[in-house]
Amino acid sequence: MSEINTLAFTKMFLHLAKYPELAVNGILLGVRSNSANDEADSSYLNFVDCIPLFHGVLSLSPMLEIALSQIDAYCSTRNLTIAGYYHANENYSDPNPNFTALRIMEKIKENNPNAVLLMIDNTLVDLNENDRFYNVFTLTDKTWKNVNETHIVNDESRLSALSLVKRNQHRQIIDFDNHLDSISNDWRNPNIRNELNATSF
Amino acid sequence: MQSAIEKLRKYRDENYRAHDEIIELWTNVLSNRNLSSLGDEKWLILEQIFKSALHCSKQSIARQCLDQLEKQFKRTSRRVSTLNAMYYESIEEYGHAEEIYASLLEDNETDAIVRKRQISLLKEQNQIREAISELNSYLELYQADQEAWSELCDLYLSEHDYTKATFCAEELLLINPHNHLNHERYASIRYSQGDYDKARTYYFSTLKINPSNIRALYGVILTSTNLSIKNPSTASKTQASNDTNQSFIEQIQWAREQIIQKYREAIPDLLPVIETAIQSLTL
Repeated sequence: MSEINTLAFTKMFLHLAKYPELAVNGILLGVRSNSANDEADSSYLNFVDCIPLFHGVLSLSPMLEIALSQIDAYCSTRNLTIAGYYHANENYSDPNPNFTALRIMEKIKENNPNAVLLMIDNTLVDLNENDRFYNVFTLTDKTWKNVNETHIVNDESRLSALSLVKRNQHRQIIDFDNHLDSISNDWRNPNIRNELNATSF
Repeated sequence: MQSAIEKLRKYRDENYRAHDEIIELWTNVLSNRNLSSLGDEKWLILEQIFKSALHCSKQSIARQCLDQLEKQFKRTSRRVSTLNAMYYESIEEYGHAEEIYASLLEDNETDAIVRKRQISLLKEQNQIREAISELNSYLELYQADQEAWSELCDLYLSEHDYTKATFCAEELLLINPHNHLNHERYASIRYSQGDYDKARTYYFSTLKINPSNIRALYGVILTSTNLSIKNPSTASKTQASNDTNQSFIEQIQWAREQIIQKYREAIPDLLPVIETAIQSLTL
């Protein structure tokens, strides 16, 4: 089971909107489950934030290692954990996870076996018609399994995402590539959080 | 209107990618103005709006621009024919587009732009292997085309064929050895292959050209760490081997200090995260 909040959903959407012609990927952060809590719910994922990673070439490992080490460090001070990974292929009509997605998911699952893949599907990208723009997959022994029916999206998310794109916030979102190009670009994207707080429904 | 024209000019000259903004400028400012006062620039602008409209799936705007261009330059114009084929590409009539490109090439087989559009057609239909094959043929003739080498490199990377991607990255290094980005890209591909030694060499050559390249500074830390892990210092190893490890450690330290300095100046509140991250990488 998994759910996603407005902030994570919106940041992901903004990243896609910023680079519509390229493959993009990123990390979803979840609340770290307390082991003292109900054991049965330890696989419940609650996505509360999103860190966009790269655009264009997604298959080079050094900067991925750098990004994951920084995101890990960021998570440990906030009781968060890397709980998901999103991936959009370059080709408009290809919604299938590829080898790059497989490798990165395997790496993420080393630290969090419950992590899931949110695979962007361009046929769903019209948020006036759909409540989400991706399919959710688990990975077991190199096999993907669609688990869409176990993923919950709240009503507000798609409205927020549409609203922020309309306000051209997709031009403001920073991914890890942007950060490495110029480190004053903040991959934590505090501005987006502020924009969302200024939005009310 | 003047500032819109200037902005469009800037985007054309600097090859800026801002298609949604360009369409906004068209819709809000330019579409109901008379552009004849701009002389020849009018046609460049129409072509620019046309291409951006295709990128934004605004086929009706693209059609308007294309109609005006066809009226002016007639259908016999190669440039307008190419735009017409691009229009077909955008509505997924790939066969129609290919017919136009094939006929344009029959008339002039040296038309590099049309050849590259044919390769794009393959890419759009997810025929990556065929695109790679055609691009290789293209590059046998146009060996100095940096854009093409870069595209081929990316295609190989998407197929995880690091060996062939390395070859393309090497061509780019040969064509332009003074571009720090080429060195860094080459290093990162080598790293992804597991060749930490080569990667480290080229991260250093990147820094020689541009000491502020953050990716290269991080690359020095990653490669030196990986190399010293492969070469653990023990009493039984030679002095030379232990000295090598010592120099790895010094270089990691140096790169770390460079990075910390830059973060301190640019984005100090991210510094604790960075320091923890580097610590975890070099453990």
